[in-house]
Amino acid sequence: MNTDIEYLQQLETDLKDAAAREASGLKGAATPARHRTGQMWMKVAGVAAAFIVVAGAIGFVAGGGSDGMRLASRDPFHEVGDAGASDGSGDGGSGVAPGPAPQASAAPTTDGEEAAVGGSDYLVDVDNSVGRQGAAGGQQQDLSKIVRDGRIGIVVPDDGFGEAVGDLTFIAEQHGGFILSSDTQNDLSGTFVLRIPARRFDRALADVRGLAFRVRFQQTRGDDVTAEFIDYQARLRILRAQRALLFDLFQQADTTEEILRMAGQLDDVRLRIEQIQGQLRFINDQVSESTLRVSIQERNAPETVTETGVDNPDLGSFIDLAVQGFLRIVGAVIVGLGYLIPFTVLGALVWVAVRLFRRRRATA
Amino acid sequence: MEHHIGARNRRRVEDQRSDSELLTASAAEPGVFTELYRRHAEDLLRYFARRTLDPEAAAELTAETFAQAFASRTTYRDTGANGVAWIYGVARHQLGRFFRSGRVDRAARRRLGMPERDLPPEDYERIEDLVDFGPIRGAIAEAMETLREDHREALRFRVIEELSYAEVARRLSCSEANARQRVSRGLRRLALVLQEQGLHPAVEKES
Repeated sequence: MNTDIEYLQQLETDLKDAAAREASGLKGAATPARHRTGQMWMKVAGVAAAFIVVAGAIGFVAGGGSDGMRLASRDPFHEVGDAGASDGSGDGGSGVAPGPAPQASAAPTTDGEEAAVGGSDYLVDVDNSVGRQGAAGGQQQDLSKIVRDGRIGIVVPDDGFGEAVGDLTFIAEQHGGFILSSDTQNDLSGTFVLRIPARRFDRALADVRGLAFRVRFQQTRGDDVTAEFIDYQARLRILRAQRALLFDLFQQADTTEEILRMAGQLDDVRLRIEQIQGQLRFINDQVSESTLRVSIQERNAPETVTETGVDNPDLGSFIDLAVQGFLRIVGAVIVGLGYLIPFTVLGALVWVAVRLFRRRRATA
Repeated sequence: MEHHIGARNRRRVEDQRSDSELLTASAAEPGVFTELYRRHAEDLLRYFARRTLDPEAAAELTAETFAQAFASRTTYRDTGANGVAWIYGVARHQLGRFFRSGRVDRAARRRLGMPERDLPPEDYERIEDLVDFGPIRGAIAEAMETLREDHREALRFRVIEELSYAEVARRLSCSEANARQRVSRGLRRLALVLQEQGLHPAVEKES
């Protein structure tokens, strides 16, 4: 370059230096433009992530925190820690919100299928379950089926284990239940499985808490099996109609071959009906009686080994919790965006106005 | 106001490659880019000087344009057109930003770690010599009415009456550096005013 302009000569030197710097750092490195593009995207991603986090925080606060967000969904799982939990209020049922009252739902609804359980005769076949439900007329009948169970770990005073076991037996009987199984260690600690009528579950749980010197843990859960129950009922109705039809055909059969074929089909349908009736009965049993696992230990008793094996973690419930947690976060972000976007748009407008003002002032 | 750019006695082997080839090669060999700079720096400075009328702004725009082009050289794709057209594309972008904001961007130079340099005093006149004020002197006289008094006076002495900076400084009772600054600021504002009025001081054909 042939020029007397010193600035251009200096600039050439600066560019050479920049080129030399880059040449020395070029080996194995990304090309500058790509690197900058990557940096730009990193910045964009950072800003977007910050935006979402802020939106989530706003949504979380606006939603009244985790409690507020929880109101929006059914929480079938409720756990109470030991600190300050031994108030004896017996509110373990609060975990099943906003579902119907467990006492109401837990009452076994003796549907028509139960009348037919013992009947092997094909003719004893009246599908009255629907009729009964429909006969409720104007009364709003609660048809939900909720299986409830829970577990509680309590600490009793020293030398109080035997007395606590006696009290526990009394509590089970008092509420119409019984101790299904027990496992004790050295008369210092033990685990008991109680079967309690579902409508008395909360009261029984409160009474068990009343035995505690300290509540180590408490956990209750409710599984809504209404959909499963209704599905079985529908399948039962279809099978019964099928059975009635097959029975008519069976009576009209003329040949031995037809009679044998119809009889085989009728046996098959009957077997399936009994299987479904068994499932319905099982659900009703589960709904009508709750399981309460009680771990009792004296204050200075060693930690029970069996306790951990009493109730294996339910992986499905953890997955449910994970999904719920994810949906709550997404919900919080959506709520937060609702607050944040108008402010962002307003800020952008102010920014554009300031830029226009500065540009005009610069050209004035 | 013609000024002869003196030749420097520098022995250097000319690179015979085309601008496009140099640009492409510079992606892997950054040092090659300086050959492009040697070829086009002065033309680009003239390009900016005739549009901004301001030596300072023109010099800075030249620096920023080459810095930006160097930083973005790997994005260049040889489509058959002369590679210098790509550099002038970068220049037009920088010029547009300058006219919109009234200041020269420094981002590319900062990113490359290039130092900020002031325009040496003697370069003012050399760069002004690159601008042919003849065809636009009338437009400048009209546009000058919109300038501040001190800028207007400085411009009148320097551009209309073609006085040296030493004489301008003497008449304005200020230092020579101050006179240069007043002329520079006045020209910059003048260029912006002309740009707003759709009067482009430069009429040259771009490469």
